[in-house]
Amino acid sequence: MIRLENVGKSYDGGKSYAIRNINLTIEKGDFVALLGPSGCGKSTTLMMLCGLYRPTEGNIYFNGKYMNNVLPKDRNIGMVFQSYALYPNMSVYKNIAFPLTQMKSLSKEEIDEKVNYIAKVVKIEGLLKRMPSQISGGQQQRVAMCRALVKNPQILLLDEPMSNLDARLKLEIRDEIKKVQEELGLTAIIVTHDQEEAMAMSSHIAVIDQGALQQYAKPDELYNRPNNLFVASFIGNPPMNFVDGTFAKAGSSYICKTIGGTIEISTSIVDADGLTSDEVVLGIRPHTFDLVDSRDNVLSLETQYIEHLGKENLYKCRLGNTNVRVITPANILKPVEEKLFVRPRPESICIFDKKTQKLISKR
Amino acid sequence: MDTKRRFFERVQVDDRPPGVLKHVIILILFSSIIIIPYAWLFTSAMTTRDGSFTLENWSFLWQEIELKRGQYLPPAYKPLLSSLMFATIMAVCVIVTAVPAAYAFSRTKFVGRRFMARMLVVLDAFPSVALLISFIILLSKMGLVNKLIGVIFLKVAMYLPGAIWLMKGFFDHVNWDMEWAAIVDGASRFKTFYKVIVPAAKPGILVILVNSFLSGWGEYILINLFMRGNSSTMSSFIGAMMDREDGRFIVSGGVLAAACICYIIPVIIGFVCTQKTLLQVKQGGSKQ
Amino acid sequence: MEKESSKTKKDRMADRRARLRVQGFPFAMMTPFLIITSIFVVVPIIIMFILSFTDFNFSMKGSFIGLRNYRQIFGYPGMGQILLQTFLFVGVSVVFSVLGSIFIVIITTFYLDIIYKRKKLGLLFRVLWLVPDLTPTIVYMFMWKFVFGAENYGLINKFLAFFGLPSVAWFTDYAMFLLLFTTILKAASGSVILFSSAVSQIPENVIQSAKVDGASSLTICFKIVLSYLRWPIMQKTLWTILGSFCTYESIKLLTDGGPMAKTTTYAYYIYQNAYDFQEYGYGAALSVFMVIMSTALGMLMLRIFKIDKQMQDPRMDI
Repeated sequence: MIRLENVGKSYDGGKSYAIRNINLTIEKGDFVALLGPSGCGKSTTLMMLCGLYRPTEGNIYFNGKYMNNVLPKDRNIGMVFQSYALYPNMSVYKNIAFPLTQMKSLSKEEIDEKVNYIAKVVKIEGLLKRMPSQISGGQQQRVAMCRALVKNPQILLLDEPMSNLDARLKLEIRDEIKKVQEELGLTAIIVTHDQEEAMAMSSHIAVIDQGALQQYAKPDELYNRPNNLFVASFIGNPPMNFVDGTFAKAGSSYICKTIGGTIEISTSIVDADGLTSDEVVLGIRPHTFDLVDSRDNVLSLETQYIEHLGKENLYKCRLGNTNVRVITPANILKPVEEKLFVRPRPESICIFDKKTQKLISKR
Repeated sequence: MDTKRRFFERVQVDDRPPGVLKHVIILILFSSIIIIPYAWLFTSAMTTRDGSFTLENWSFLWQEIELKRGQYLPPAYKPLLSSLMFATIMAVCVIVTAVPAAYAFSRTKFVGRRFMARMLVVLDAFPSVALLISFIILLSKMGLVNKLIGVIFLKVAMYLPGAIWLMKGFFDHVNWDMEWAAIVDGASRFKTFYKVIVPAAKPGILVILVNSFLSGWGEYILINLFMRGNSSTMSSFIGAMMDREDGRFIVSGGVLAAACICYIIPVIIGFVCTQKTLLQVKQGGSKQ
Repeated sequence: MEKESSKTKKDRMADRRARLRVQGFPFAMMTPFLIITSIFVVVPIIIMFILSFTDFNFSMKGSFIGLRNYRQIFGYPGMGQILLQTFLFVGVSVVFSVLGSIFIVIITTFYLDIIYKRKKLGLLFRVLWLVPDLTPTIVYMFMWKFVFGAENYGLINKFLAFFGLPSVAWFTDYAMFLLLFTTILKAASGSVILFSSAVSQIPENVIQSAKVDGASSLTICFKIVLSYLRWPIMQKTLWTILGSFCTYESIKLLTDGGPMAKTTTYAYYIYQNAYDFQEYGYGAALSVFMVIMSTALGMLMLRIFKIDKQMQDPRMDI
């Protein structure tokens, strides 16, 4: 439904790129997150989808129609901005009605009907007569949502809509947005730097870093099979552990030497083409370690301290120069002084080529 | 017990250090160079030549005044209204011209934007005296000599670069979010200009309105240069009253003083009324 | 691979239309400004340059005379005096008006408002000091003409007579002093708003921590307050230099350039050629130099105030 073909935006005549070579296809009804750190180009991409920015290269298609020059008002979109951008000199009602009043083809009654309907959906009927300065942040956000939805758009764009809210309100609004999207059958695209938010809300996530698309996939794929070191480090909290290692062939499997020990890795899960040298990085999520008593095929870690989180224990360990986190169920408790012997579960381990930073393990 | 505690609290809340007197004295000494002449102006307006209190000086407001050799000056309310009209038209012209142009400079892209912005600063520094001769030639060729509208055009044209630059500063500070939202909502660029951005920059518009009005109200030399007759505006009215014969003013000093007060009171009152907005706003629009 | 292969001809035409719309809107907004400025600023500038090579005068007729006007300017014996008076006028009025205004602002805003927290008193004096700037020049000069008037009219002379002292012929003997005095006062008044808002923007905790560190008010004044005033002072100094070079209305209204051209500055000399002598060609040649000076000052201001940094790209491509 939405297709970005080699889309890029450069400034200063091509001297610097905010975003480059974006290729994405978004289907109707998807909830897509553009995820990445500050300055990675995700907001620029959203603005190009919106029509406020024009791509300097590439093409954007909505339902097969070439969109680069189409004004935002003709794109059948609604947008919610980070600061909500409510018009301060108009009442809440007038704010929501504003997009409709620009259409000039609707009567006053029709406008009234639509405004009241959407206010009911987003649950702010009581605020319609107030001014934006008289309502709270969360309420302002809902008004912004109403204004974005009042024209019945097909696509909803959100630019970090929850970054100004406190943690409790964030969760509440997150659910509301999801509900509204499903109820109205919208295709939603949200920009966020919060990976947890993206993982919780979206059907697909586009991870962007430094103006380049790193990976576009469903959340669980991003979690279990991240394309490269950046995605692997960005997704998941607590973050993935990275251990440098050296590969050596030993019969039908690889032996991976690390500072903390030697691990055996079956060749069936390694894509040998991706290996440029024998230097690799092992990516192991904190709760995919098995605590074992034996001394071979394990990593030995020095525990620095243990956090008791109630439902689980978090061991903060040191392996050479790196910090490694291990999470065990609450009933498994090893003393701090003892060395921790852990083995990564082979079905969860990710292996990256050290030079290309790309994933070379497969399952 | 209660009163003792309350007194104590009051003294503590009032944390003004003592010793302000010496500064106030210094200030009064220096401010006397302002207070004395203006006080003298006020008292002259209310006294006759021999020093007794009178209000007859103020009759010039509705009566004619005799100048030398049978020439008469009209009652003062005519030039007062004239000045008012001049200043108002000038202020309106400045706003209508400067605000959209400033918006273009601040929030749109166009060929030559940077060059023209630099020209604004250079033109703002331009001396009007250098163009006096050109103005004389231009206005006479355009047939606008002896017409106030000609002088208004000149004043507006010289006032514009500074006004545009000031207004541009105000527009620069308006958040882009609202403009984005309005465009997405379907408003044209022009509509976002007058419905969203202009209301947000109202203080700036007020500053320019007041300043251009004051500039028009106080204009003397250009009006004197291009208008024949001596009562086109209040300023030339006063200028005519300053004619001397035998080294003495024809018109009594008291009447002159009263006319001056008439002329400056609206300025002072207007400024005092809008002072709060202007003072807080001047820092936002400064050229830094 | 051709990136543009998916665009049709209709799409390319839409591209072109969009670009025209985006480019056209700013010029539409600037139309009244461009029209007024072209007719009443650009055309006069051109006229000025052309006139400077002619001998146009009150008869509105003239012919090309080449560089004769310019040679006349350099050969004019009175030019030395005019230039000397001009630089004297500019130098003294800039220095003293800026200093004076700093002084007033420091006492009212810093001492009264901040240190002694008597905001109402500070405001009262500040408003008082704004009055000269607001007063129209004609009234302002009339006031001072009477205060320093000759014989027994002037307030000052009446005051002197009261003490048995002889009256002073201010306008004859001390014309330049009078001009400087009145101009400095008005110019100082004009800087009050800018400076006082700069001082009032100093964060309170900066001053409080200086007090805690044991600094006296005077030290705070010199070390902290003046540094916040650096930019406004630089800005006002440049603008006052420009303004005093171009002043002519005040001179006309106070002294008529006299007595005996003792208060004639370069700008006033141009005005005389325009209004009194009606030597348009010669006056235009004089104006050319003034324009060169003001353009140079304008470009200096562009550089010093980093104007380019204030021209950020707009954040929209529509």
